[in-house]
Amino acid sequence: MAENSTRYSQTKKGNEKDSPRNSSKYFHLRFIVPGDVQELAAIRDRVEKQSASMNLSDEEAYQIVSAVDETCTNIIKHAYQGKEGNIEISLKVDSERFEIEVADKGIYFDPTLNIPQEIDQEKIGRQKGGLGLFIIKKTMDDLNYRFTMSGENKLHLVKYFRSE
Amino acid sequence: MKTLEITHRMDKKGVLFLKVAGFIDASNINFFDRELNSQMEKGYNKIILDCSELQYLNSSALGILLEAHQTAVKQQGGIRILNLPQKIEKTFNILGFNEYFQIFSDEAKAVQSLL
Repeated sequence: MAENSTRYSQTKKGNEKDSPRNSSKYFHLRFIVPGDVQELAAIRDRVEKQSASMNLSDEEAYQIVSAVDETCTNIIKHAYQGKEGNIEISLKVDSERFEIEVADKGIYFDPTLNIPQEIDQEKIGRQKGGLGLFIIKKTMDDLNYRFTMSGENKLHLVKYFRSE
Repeated sequence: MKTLEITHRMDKKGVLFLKVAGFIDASNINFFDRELNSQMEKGYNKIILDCSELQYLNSSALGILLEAHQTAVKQQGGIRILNLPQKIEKTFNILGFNEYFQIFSDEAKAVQSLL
């Protein structure tokens, strides 16, 4: 049974000197939402609000929001395949990077195996997947997948801050 | 609250304006797909997508747009993008979609490019 409410925890950390970012805004935020397309807007809204607190450019924030949206959409479509299940999203920010981990307990689904190298406009159609992964690959700096002992798909994404 | 609103306007020169306000994601992608393709099935193949009030569009929407554009081009038409918010345009460019779509901030120039 999917949870209707969202679990939420947040930890502030850090007081490093010489940071290009305001260290009081470092955070580690974790929340769990039902794997349902109707939840995507709320997920994007929450990620956008956290990004906005980090002095990211609009473009960087949009790309992070987009990567999370595409990842969650893939989970709903391919890992849960219409069945109920939760998605756990973890956002971790320090002076250098914005890290995102998205976990689900659906069927094994390694999205990194399906990333197109280029947009093939002859093959891109509404029925074909892969463009979302292409967006994630192009906009995020690191992309790693693992399947855990407890049967979770975990996708780890990192975007490094541009030096100022 | 409506998540996506699509309004139509026909230009005197036969160019169809579709204004998309809100966001396009997996929750409403079928609505966007139906609206765009129903217009094309009616024979409109010169379309300007007004994105001035677009907050977000996902990869499926990009795929649908690209496919629709290719169909329109084969019929001597095309899809033009108008007033795309800068944060979305940057992502468009990173993906190379600016090679496929002409993006305008001037409505008259967008119309002219289709005539």
